[in-house]
Amino acid sequence: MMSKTRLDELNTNIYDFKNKDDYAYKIDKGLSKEIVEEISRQKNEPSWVLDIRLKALETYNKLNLPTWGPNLDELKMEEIATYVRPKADIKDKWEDVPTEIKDTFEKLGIPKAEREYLAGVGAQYDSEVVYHSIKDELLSQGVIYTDFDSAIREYPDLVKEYFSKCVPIFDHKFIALHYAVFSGGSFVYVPKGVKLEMPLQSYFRLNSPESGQFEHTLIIVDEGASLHFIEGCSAPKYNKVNLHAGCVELFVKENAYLRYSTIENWSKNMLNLNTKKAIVEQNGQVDWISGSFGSHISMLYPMSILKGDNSKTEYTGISFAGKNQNLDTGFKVVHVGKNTSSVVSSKSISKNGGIATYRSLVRILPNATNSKCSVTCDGLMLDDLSRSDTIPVNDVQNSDVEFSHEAKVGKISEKAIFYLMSRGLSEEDAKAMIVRGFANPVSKELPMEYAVEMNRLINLELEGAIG
Amino acid sequence: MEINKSPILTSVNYGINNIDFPQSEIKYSHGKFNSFTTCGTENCSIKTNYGILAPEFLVKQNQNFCTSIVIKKTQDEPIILNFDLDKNNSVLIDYLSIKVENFVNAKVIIKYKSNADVYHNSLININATENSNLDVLVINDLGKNSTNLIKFNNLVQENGKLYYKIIDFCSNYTIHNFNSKIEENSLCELKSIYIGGENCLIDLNYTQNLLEQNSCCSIDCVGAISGNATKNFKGTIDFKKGATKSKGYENEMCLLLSNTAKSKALPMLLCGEEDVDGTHSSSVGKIGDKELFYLMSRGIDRNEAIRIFVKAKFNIVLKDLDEQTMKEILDRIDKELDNER
Amino acid sequence: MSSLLEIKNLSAKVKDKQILDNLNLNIGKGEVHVIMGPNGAGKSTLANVIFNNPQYTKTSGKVIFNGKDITNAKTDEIARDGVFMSFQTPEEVEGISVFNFIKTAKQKITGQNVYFADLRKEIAKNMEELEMKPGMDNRDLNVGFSGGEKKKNEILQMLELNPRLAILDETDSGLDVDAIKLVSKGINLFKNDENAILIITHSTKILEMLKVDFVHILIDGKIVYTGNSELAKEIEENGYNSFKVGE
Repeated sequence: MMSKTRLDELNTNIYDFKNKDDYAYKIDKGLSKEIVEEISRQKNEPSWVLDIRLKALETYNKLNLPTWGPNLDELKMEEIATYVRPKADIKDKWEDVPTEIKDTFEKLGIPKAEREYLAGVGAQYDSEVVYHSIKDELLSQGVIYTDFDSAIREYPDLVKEYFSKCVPIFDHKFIALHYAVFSGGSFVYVPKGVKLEMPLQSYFRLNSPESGQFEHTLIIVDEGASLHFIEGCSAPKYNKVNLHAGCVELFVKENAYLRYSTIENWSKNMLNLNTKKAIVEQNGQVDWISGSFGSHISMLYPMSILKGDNSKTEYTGISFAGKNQNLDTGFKVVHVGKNTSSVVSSKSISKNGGIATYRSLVRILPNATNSKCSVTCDGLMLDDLSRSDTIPVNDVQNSDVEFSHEAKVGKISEKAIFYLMSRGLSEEDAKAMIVRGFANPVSKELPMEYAVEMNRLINLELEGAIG
Repeated sequence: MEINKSPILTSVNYGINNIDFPQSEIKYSHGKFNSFTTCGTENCSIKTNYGILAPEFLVKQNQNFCTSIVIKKTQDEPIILNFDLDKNNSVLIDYLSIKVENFVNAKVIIKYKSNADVYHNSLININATENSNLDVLVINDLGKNSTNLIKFNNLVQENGKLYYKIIDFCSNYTIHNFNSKIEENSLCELKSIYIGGENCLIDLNYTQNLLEQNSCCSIDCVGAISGNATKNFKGTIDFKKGATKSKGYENEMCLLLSNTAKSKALPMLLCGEEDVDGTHSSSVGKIGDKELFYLMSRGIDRNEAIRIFVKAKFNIVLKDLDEQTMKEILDRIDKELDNER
Repeated sequence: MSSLLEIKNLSAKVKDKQILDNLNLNIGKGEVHVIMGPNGAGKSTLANVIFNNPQYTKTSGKVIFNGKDITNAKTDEIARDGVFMSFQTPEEVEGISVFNFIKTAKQKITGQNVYFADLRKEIAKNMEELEMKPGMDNRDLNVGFSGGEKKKNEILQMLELNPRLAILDETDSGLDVDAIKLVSKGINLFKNDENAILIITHSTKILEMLKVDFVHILIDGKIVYTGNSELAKEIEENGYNSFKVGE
């Protein structure tokens, strides 16, 4: 008989190197009006931003924790420092970034990626962006790609018009928290008709223990424009929990296209309670590519609101839940306009006691006639210690739709393992190959270099530990 | 890490199932229910009581009919339980307990019928013991303005087989709560069809728990709704730890026959065991214009074409009915579809 | 000693059902053997048992390949030793391209790095011989392939992995005459004096296109009769009944 698959966690990986907790300023732990005001003072920001912060804090205090999903008892806000300013100002040349921080991003391959295939890069270290740069020819076309603080200063009208209009502050408790203490993140504006050939990437690194990262990403892709945006994140592992409650607001205008890719590899002590939403106008399209590997607990449900007629969205996601991980992820889509379409493909792998949950919403409103939605989800169980749950809500409010939902759960087919072994692959190789194949629909949607990176992450997760 | 009660709460968040049934709508029994007949019960022991406590809320305090049937010998002819509600028997709160003994094969048909507006709340407990094989068919036809609340509890023991079929001509409130516990090597198959219109609220909650190895279950739910009807469906297949080599299949399909009918579905697949095979699918749609056109081009009128489509979808249950029941049900479906226009 | 495969008193069961019963078979270098028999005789079991498919259990006997006892070897080890099995219904595996699969398998079997461009050329050539659609090697392994495409893909893998012994399990079943011709062409391309082929089949059509040295009749888990290619013709005319009666 074949042995059962047993995968052990890798104790170290290349993301897990700690720098000294060496900062210019770290705010007191906890959350209070004083702390929120102090963050605002530290950032020297206009009063309208502080007003939003304080209103959000009030909302945060009023709202309850979600009654569903993973247990969040481990989160103790009084032990989290919500703002940590690194010992560096924002720079637009890597050589100006302090050595230790620069080395961090070198190890993560960011400057190399920028030289080779990115149109612009932003890098955030703890609460502040330390590097931001964009290719000159894009600047001359009017593309804006900058850190969020600079955007508030330099483009106040544009920021005011869109900020918190896609994800309102009262959406849920952790988005209220986000708006109270947000810091860093990127602002992107792509003018009408401008099509970016190469992607932009923002990378978020959380180094400081017992702290939180609350970056705000706001992207506007104007009429007929097109953009591929990549988001990466990682952190070293500490014994106490860290918190990530970022927010991504995407505005996709008429005939515009946006692809938003994420490879998330937070350390296994991270609570990742992130919110991402897109509003898509007529004939626009937003595609989400999402790979979730890290974090202790994730609650992440990107959402597309198909507001304009003929708008479209696709979601391709994979999550990999290992030991001590509870990844509660999924996709939400609301069909508002006519002839709208959504295609959802979600995969999960659970092993070593990991819990992978697919939780989703499809809502087709009465006026969204002639709309189409198809959902497939696949759960792969690598052992009998783990869980894989599928909890989709499908709410169809008009009859002129094509809607279908399919889901499967099970283990790697023994027949497939035997077939591969009959061609000379060892049992471990066969299983790893099948798992990589399972993840392939996601990796093939990523640029080559990121697909390689993702496959490497999967190998790390499986390495040496099967059999 | 422990799993909290997230599936239930998710569904509550979206207003699916575990709905608060309005207190004001709850009715109480006045005197015993007399309009009950049976046939085919030669091999059973039956105890019928009026007014003995039955073990669940609502039914518990308040029931006016209670019967317990133990089927002791295999028989080909079905056991039929008829509940005929009418103006004079307009409230039925019943508790049925049906047990089929080891190695016994049997069929049970339970019919709730009414020609008036009635209130019906029942608790049906089924126990398919080791190596038994039981077919259960429940037919609800209680009229448009009635209220129909049913809780189905099932236990299928080792090597047992339970084939459950439910046919519902929906009432104003139609609420099913179905829960099975399925043990080693046993099988529980549920096929449910429903048809509803006007302002019906149809709330179906079907849960199959696979407890031990080599167990098998399915949920097949097909319906057609029209008018302003709303249907909420929650189907759960739960592979509990230890349910190795088990299989679960779930399929939900809802035909919307009007622009104002609404369908919500939550088809869940919960899995705490690796070596299992689980699938579910769910779909919503209307009858395609192309298909209708094709049938109409062969001289079939539109209404007839719709009837043909609906009945084709309902075939999962219809095909296994005996000739006479099938005829009755087909006639009722036709009538129902005609009423909706 | 030119014996390549030696099966001695092999018995095997699936679940509790005995399928092979003291089976003996010798295959020498350069030989083409055919095993025929009615449905359920244990033909496909034989291939799977040689390869130690975990669904089957050997209850007695030995399998010696090229002088090495592989009775209890793991499936992949047997493959690396130079035995190939074509599957009756090859598995569909999503996300792995035919090309990458062959490349990986070839590296495992030869123990050497395989160069992308060389292999591309080689596979393209063999695909042309088998009249496979260009680009098939970029598709996911067997996913959505027709029956004929799957069988050709098996033969393609055989040509690429170049085993010492190829066991072809019902490679011809369900194929039309043209497809059988192409499969036989593939087999003839592969065949040389150093390797050997064991064909498991229930039809005689493919045998008309191949030069066969031995035909064995397998009934109830045993080889009941061994002859030459004439035997196949006889079976086509009279069926297996005469062999059953003689038992």
